[in-house]
Amino acid sequence: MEPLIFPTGQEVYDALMNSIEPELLSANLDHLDDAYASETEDARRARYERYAAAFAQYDEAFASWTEELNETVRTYRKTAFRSAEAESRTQEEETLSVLEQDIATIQTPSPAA
Amino acid sequence: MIKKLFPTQAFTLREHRLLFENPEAAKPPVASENTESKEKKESDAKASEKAGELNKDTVKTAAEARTNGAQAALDAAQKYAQQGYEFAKKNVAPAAKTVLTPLVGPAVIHAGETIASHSEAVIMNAQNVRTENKSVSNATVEKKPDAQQSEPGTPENIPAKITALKEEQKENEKKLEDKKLPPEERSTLQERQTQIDEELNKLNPPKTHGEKFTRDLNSAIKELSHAQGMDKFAAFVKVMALISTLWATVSKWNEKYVPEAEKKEEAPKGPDTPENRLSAKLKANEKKMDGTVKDEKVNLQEIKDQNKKEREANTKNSDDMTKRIDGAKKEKEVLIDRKAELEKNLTSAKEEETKNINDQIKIIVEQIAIQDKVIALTTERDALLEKNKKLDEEDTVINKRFGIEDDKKLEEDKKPEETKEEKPTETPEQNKKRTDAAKQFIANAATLLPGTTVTAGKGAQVIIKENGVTLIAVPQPDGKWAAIDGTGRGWTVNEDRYVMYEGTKAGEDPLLKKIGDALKEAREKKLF
Repeated sequence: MEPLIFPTGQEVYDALMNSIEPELLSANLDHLDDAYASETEDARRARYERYAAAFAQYDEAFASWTEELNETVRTYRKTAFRSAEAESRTQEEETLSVLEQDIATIQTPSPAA
Repeated sequence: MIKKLFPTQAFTLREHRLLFENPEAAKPPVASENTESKEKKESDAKASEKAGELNKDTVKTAAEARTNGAQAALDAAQKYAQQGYEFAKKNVAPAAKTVLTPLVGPAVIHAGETIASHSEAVIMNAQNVRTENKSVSNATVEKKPDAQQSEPGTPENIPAKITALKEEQKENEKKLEDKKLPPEERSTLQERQTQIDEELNKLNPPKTHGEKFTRDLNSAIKELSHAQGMDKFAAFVKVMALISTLWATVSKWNEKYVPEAEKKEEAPKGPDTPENRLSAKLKANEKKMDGTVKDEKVNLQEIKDQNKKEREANTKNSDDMTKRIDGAKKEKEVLIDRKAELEKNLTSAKEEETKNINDQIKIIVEQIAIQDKVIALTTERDALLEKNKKLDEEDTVINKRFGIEDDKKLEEDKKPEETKEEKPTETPEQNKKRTDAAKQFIANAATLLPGTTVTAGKGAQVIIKENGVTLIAVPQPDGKWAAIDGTGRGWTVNEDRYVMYEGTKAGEDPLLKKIGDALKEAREKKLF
């Protein structure tokens, strides 16, 4: 049973946002307006409205992903318990098996020996 | 399996459905330690979004708030997963061990004590073998392992220090037997006992591996009997490791000496004659059958069957080889002719053709070498034929023992024994007795053979069917039952043995075994 590997918060944000609005990826946040130096005021407003809608979509996607994450973790915990129990049971069985074999094959030495 | 919890393309499909088909289905993120700050930031960002006042800075804030939210959710999930993992590792397995230890502890002590004395016998036995082989110096052989050596005051010349240490050890032993002894003091005493063992070993080192083993085991058993809690488990592991060592040693002795003794027994005596070979086969066969086949006739028939199978396989192989050898010889002839032709062309060939012809000749020479390898199988084939000859000789010896000339006569010799009772020479009284026995058997079949269909056949026949398998059984005047199975094989059945006429292993057929058991029960209940 290997431990789960978790991404960072930024990785999750970028992964979800990438399919919604690539301009809002964390690497682009400091240069949002760079490519739109000559855009009109209306175009700028429309762009930021698009960003607002993108955030709304992100929130929904994030909620869904969180559900999936929690389910995965719950399953993982259950599996961890099952795995530990199975491991313990195997160890017990092996120990008892060795013991049984040893006891079964013990021969009391005859007085002549 | 390592699973990275990361949004994937598959997830994007789910996201798509949520966003465009059922936007209301999405739920808010789970609560976490950073819930308050996250919610505040998100609400601020959302307020800006709704008011249409987003700008470069508020977008960045909104994105960071979401990144933090994701991180918080991940932290919470990771903590929850890790807690589960740690709890499972720490609590589930040790809990099971706690239950196991008191269960196996006393059994191990008992086993250990028995093994301690058994090991003495093993060592002595080993020493006897050594003495016989004269392969080990007397010094090693003379010293007997002393299982009681840890007990004080036995030999007269034990140095005073050893006696003192043993006295101390004995006193500690008594103290350790006190169940109310505080754990710390118990632990200290245990350590001291181990030290004393080590000192005693230094003062009076074990002379043989066996003696060392016995001392180690005694020490470990004592430790196990006094240890508590996790120390008990550690002591248990120690004892088990020593036991494993002992059995590994015993196995080595067995491998080293027992097979040699057996080999001596199995080694063929005298020259390579059919009689001697057959004698060796008979012994090997009886051993293989675990002594169940005592009847030489059955055993000889088995050997004849084996010989027959081997002979058939040898014949098939030798035939195949002959075909291949003949083919290779023909191929070789063709290749030699072709080579000669090419060599002839070589003399009149132009310079540029010479290389090409030489290459072809080289290939042909390689092919001829391959064919030569096939032709060399002749020796192997001849060996197979020689082997068949020897098998024939053995069969001749077997036939002589049966007092017959060939297999057909052997079959004729056997069949009358098993079918004699059904011949018309039977008296009416005998026939009636057999028929009555069959009727009685059928009348009690429901009890005797549950799960089978038992009906009357012609005369004294009893037809037994189970799962599509049919057996026709016929009671014999001597109390045995003869039976014929679906493939036409004949069987003799009595209470404890089911022998097929062709020498197949006894008790092989489950239905036949059932009949035998039923017959035994019927006799015990005096049903007929």
